[in-house]
Amino acid sequence: MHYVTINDFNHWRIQARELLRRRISPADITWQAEKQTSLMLDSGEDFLSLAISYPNPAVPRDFFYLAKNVSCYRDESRWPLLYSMAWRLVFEDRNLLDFKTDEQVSRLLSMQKAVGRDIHKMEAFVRFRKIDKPFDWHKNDEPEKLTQNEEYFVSWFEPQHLILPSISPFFVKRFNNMHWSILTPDLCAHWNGKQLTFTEGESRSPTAKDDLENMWRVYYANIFNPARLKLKAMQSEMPKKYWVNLPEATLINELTRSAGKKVDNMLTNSIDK
Amino acid sequence: MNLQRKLSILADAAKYDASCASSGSIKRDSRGGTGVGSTTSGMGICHSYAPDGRCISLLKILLTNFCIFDCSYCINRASSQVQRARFSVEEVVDLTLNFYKRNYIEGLFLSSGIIQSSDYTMEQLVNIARTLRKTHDFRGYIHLKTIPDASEDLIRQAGLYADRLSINIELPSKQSLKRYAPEKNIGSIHHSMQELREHIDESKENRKQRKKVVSAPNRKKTKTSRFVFSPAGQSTQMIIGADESSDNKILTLSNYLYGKYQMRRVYYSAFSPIPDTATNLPAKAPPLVREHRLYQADWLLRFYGFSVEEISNTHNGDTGMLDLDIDPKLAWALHNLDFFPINVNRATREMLLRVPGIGAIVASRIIHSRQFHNLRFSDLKKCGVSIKKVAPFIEALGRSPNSVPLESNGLRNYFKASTSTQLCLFD
Ligand code: SF4
Repeated sequence: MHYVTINDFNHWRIQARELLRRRISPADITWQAEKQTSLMLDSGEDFLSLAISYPNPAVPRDFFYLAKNVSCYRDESRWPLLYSMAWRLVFEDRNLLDFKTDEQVSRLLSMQKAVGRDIHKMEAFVRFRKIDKPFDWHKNDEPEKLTQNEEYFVSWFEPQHLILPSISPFFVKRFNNMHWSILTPDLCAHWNGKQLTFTEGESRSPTAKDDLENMWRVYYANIFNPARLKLKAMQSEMPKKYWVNLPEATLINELTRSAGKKVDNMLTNSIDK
Repeated sequence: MNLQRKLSILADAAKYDASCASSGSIKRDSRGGTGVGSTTSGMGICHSYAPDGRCISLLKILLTNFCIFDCSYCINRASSQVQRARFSVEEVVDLTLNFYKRNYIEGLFLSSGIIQSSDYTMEQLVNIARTLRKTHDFRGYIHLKTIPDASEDLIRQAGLYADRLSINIELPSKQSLKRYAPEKNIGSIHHSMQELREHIDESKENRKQRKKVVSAPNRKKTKTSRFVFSPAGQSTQMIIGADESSDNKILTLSNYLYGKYQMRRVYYSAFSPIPDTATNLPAKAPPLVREHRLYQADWLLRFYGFSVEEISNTHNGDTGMLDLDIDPKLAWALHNLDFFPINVNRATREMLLRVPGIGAIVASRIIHSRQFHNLRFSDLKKCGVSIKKVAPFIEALGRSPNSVPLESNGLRNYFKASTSTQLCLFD
């Protein structure tokens, strides 16, 4: 039995390649997350001393992208599953990914879909709050010098999967000239206009207040048309689990409750004329 | 009047415009610039959903709800008792940027009541777009409503700053427009749409040429403007249910607009009760189901090769109205039972697309899978088909698990029962 430790996708890729080059079968590997391994330090890479019997294992490009996405899936089973698929693509059937009905293929595809959805929702539902100075992730370090005209923002989000590294480039491109931090329980990302830094997760959302949230609530309340109330359609796109981080969500119940009355008023007013 | 109050009035006044799309522009982002913003050529992002189930993607507001026109269906018409407000250029610019930086929105959708003159109004809108782009290097999405009659030069400028332009056709017929929007001129609406199309086509053509030049060897780096005329094209909106026009009439007009002006989208907006409705208009709940059926029919026109006549002559003799109980594709199928059953192992893509329950993705999957072996009903299920829905219309290897007799009335009730529960889910 070989013990293999993985901390991220790139690491998995390197390890998987070395394992394949030595034809080490999925059944002979125990995969472990990084954190547990501090207890059993030397178990890591004993397999590297084995002879290489298959120097150039290659997987299709599609699998590379699939694996990259699936590596964000919050479940330790992803590493052995990905390896098993890589093994089969190399030694059994290069076209395996076309067989959508294969159990492992369909499991991987559904994991990919879940990650994709999570990314999409996070791009949509992250909410920044403006703060006076950059979020202090150095802790105790010298405070950064503030420059005029720079603006600082912070956001708290709890993604279902481990997507922060994959999603950060989106925010870097969109908010390139802002300084921002996105905090999650797993990991935090900080952008200072030049450089992206990742730090350990935070345990709770920062206490930042942003007066503009009221303005946003005013907009939300008024863009809603009470004559078209369709609560279920809204909830299927914006499930309740996201509401805690959305400033506008505090209005939903009241807007829904008063909708009927508003419409009745409009209708009677026009009939009375 | 404080800003919050203005925002509440001018957002309320803008909500009857159904469009909120931020899709289909060009790829750009804020790197190398001084501001914020990014867009893609794909789908936009919905940053929130109102309790009416509609996507909130853009800050959709009017510059002002003062209006010298008196369109009966409109909350902003001159004779309406509604409270009036007007934003300054800075106010709109600041709101857009402030919302954008907090990741509330993809950009701005700006429209306006007509103040003083068409040109004056259009100039105000262009001014805001220009300030966002030039002063603040804003690279998010901008949709500008275009005022028909505005000068060619203003329209050209608008197109350089906006990702999308739109002019509302408002009502399905000339007569209705005359009756309910007497100051509007159908001729100039069409004229402006034509003008937009020409600019858009020309800009596309230029980009193509430029690409050729750029990819040619030994090129010198040419300095080209990064502004493209309205890269996400143009769209329009029609109000449904304010006048008596039939669905056939509505779809005929849409079909014309798609063909003639290359509209990206025609939006349908169910006429909705507004505060202080004009007396010549129906006071009733908005016809949401009808609106939904029109969107489905519109989809069939654009992507499934159906003609207007095929879709709209399937129900109630020749009233030209869509069947509200079942979707238009199913209605067509029930009206054309001789077309069925079709054989999924032999049918062309066009034929497959005519089967209720088989959409574009499923059709592709069927065509892909049948290369390897003939398909059974159980294979279809793996392709993502609801056997219950398609069984009456197709043949595959083996016997159908749900055999329902191909007879129009029985089938209609069979499907009606299943669709009506579905509609409840969303209402
Ligand atoms: S022109 Fe007509 S539709 Fe437009 S804002 Fe004025 S009244 Fe409303």
